[in-house]
Amino acid sequence: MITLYLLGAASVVLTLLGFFVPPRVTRWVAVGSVGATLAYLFLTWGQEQTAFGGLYVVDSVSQGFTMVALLGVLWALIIGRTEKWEFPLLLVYAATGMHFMASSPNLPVLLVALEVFSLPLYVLATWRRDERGFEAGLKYFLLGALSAAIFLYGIALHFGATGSFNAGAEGSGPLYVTALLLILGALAFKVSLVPFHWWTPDVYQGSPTTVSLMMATAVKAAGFAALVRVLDVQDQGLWGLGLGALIALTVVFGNLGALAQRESKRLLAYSSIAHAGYVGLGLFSGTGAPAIGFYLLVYALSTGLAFAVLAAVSQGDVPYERLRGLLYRKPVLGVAMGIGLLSLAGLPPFAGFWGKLLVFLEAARAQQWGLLVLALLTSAVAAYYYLRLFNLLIDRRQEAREEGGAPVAAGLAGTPVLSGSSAGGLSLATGRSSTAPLVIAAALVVLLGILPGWGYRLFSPVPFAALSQAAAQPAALPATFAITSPSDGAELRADEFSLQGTGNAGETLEVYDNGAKIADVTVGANGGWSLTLPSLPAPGEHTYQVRRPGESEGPSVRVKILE
Amino acid sequence: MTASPGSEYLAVLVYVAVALAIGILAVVVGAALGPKKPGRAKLMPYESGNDPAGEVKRFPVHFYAIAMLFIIFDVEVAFLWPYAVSAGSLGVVGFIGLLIFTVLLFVGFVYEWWKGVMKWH
Repeated sequence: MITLYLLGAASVVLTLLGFFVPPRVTRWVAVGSVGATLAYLFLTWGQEQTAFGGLYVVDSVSQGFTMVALLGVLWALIIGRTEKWEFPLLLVYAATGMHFMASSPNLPVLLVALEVFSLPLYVLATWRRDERGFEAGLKYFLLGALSAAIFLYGIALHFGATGSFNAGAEGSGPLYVTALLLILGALAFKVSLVPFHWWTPDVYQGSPTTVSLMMATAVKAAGFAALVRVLDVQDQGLWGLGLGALIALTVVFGNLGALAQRESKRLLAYSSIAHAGYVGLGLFSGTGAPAIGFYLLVYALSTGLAFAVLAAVSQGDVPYERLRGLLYRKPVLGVAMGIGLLSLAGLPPFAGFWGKLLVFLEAARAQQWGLLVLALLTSAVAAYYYLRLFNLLIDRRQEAREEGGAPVAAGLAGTPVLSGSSAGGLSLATGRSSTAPLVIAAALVVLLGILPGWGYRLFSPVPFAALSQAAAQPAALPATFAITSPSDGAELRADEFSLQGTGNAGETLEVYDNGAKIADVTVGANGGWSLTLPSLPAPGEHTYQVRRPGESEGPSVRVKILE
Repeated sequence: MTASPGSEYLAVLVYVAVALAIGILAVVVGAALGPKKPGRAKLMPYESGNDPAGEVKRFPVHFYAIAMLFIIFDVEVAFLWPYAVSAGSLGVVGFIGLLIFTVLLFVGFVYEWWKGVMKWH
C-alpha cells in the first residue's frame, strides 16, 4: 500500500509543484520520491500484502517487477534534463501505473493500469517536436490504443468464459482459449513480441533516447508482470502453442532484423525485441517468475547502460560510425557501453549470462526443447551484432571515419542534437551526476555477473544454488503430509501402536479421531512426526486423520482396534 | 403506477417517432408551398451584404480543449451519479473514497486552470 501511496502522492504533488519551483527542483523531487519508493521496497522486501478486496496484491512478483520498472524510471529521470517540468511528472505517472500493473491480479484494474502508464509514454514519445518524433508518437499511440482495445475484448471474453475478472480463473473451452490468446496478443504489443513489434524500431528511434531507455526497461517489466499473472500454466493447451509461436518468431526475427541495422537505437530496438523472446521462455513453467524478474533486472541494467551512453552521444539518431573509438574519446562512456553490450550478448562473466541461463533452465524444465535450441542458436547470431558494435568502440581509427565533419563533442557537451526547437529538448550533460548512474549500473552488471545469487534472491526465496538440482526435476510439488504408520486397514490392539507420519519440518498438524480432534503434533526437523495417543481408543473402527490447521481435509487411515 | 420499464421506454420511442414526424411534416410543407426562384445572389452565403471573406485555415485549439475538459468532467459526473443515489448507505468510508476521487480530478482541473487552458484570447 505504502508503495502505491508514495507514488500516487508524488504524482499529485508534482502536478502542482511545478508552478512554484524551477524545473530543476521538480526533477529532484521526482528523483527523490522514486528513490524513496525503491528504498521502501527494499526495506519491506518479502512482506506480502493484499488490499482493496484482492484488487491490489503485493507479493514477490509485484515487488521484483516494480523494482525493475522503478529503476528504469529513476534512470530516465536522472539523465533526462529538460526545461519543461512535465517531463519528470509524466515519468512518475508512468511509474505509478507500472507499479499497479505489477500488483493486480484483476483484469479490469490491469487495463486501467496499462492506460495509466501508456498515456504518459505517448506524450513522452512525441517529446521531440520534429517529424520523427510525431511519427513515433502517433504510431505508438495508435497501436497502443489498438492493443488496449484487444485487451479489453479479451477481458470481456475471459469474463464470459469463467465468470471472473481475476487472472488465472479456472476455465476451459474455445471461448476461454480465445480470451487468453487475445490478452496474450495485447500484452505482446507492450513487450513487443513478433508479430506485434512493428512499432518498436520506429518508436525507439523517434523518441528521445532517454525515453527509449525507459520504454525498453520499465515497460517490459510491467508487461511481463501482467503476463506472469494472466497465463495459467496448469492448462497450457492452445495458448501455450500461441506463446511458443510468438517466441519462436520473436527470437528469429528480432536477431535477424538487428543484423541489418545501421543505426544504434534501431539496433537496440531489435535487440529488445529479441530479448523479449528470451524472457518469454520463462513463462512456460509455473516457477518462472523469479527467472523472468532476474532476467529483466539484468536486461534493464545492461540495455539501460547502452541507451544511457547513446543518450549522452545524442538524443537523436546515433549511426554506428559515431561510436567508433568512443572508448578513447570518452573512456567512461566507452567502458559502460562495452560492458552493456557484452552483458546483452550473454557472455560470462557479466550478468546477462546468468539471466539467459535462468530462463533457458525454465524452458528446459517446461520441456520446450525446440524453442530452447532455437533460442540458443539465435543467441549466437546476436553475439555477432553486439560484438561488431563492441569492435567499433575499441577501434582507434576514428578521425578518418568521422561523419560530415561535425565534431562528435557537440553532442556530448550538453546541447542536444535536435532538429527543431531545442527549448523543449532533452539534454544529458556528461557531468558528475550523469556519469555516476553509468558507473553504478556498470558495477552492478559486473557484480551480478560474479554473484548472481544476490540479485536472484530479490525475486525468489529459493536459494540460487538449489536451481541446478531443481532444474533436473519436474517443478516441485506443494509439500505434503501423510500418516505412514499404522497402515490403512490394520487391525491392532489399543495399547500397542502410536501414530507416525511425515510433513514439512516445523509445521504443526492437527490429528483427528473419527472427526474429533485429539492432539496437535509438530513435524520434526527430519520431516517426520510421531504421536502417542493421549487416551486408549475404544475397540472398533477408528479413522485417524491429519489436517493442516484451518483445513477440513487431509490424509487418513482406517484402523480396527481389537478387543 | 408500476408500468414495466420496457413499456415506459416504448412510450419514449413513440414520443421520438411523433416528434420526428411533426418535424419532417413541417419541413415538407414549407418546401412544397413556397415560391422557388433561385438565383446567384440568393445562393451566396450571408455576410451582411458583403462578399464572403475567404477560408478559415484552422479553428482555435480552445474548442478542442474545452471539449476534452467536458469529456473528462462528464465522466467524473458519471462516476458521481451512483454515489449520489446511495450516499447514505455507503457511509463515511464511501464519502472518503469519493472525496479522494474528486480531489484527484480537481488537481487535474487546477493544473488546467493555472496552465491557462480556460483563457480565451
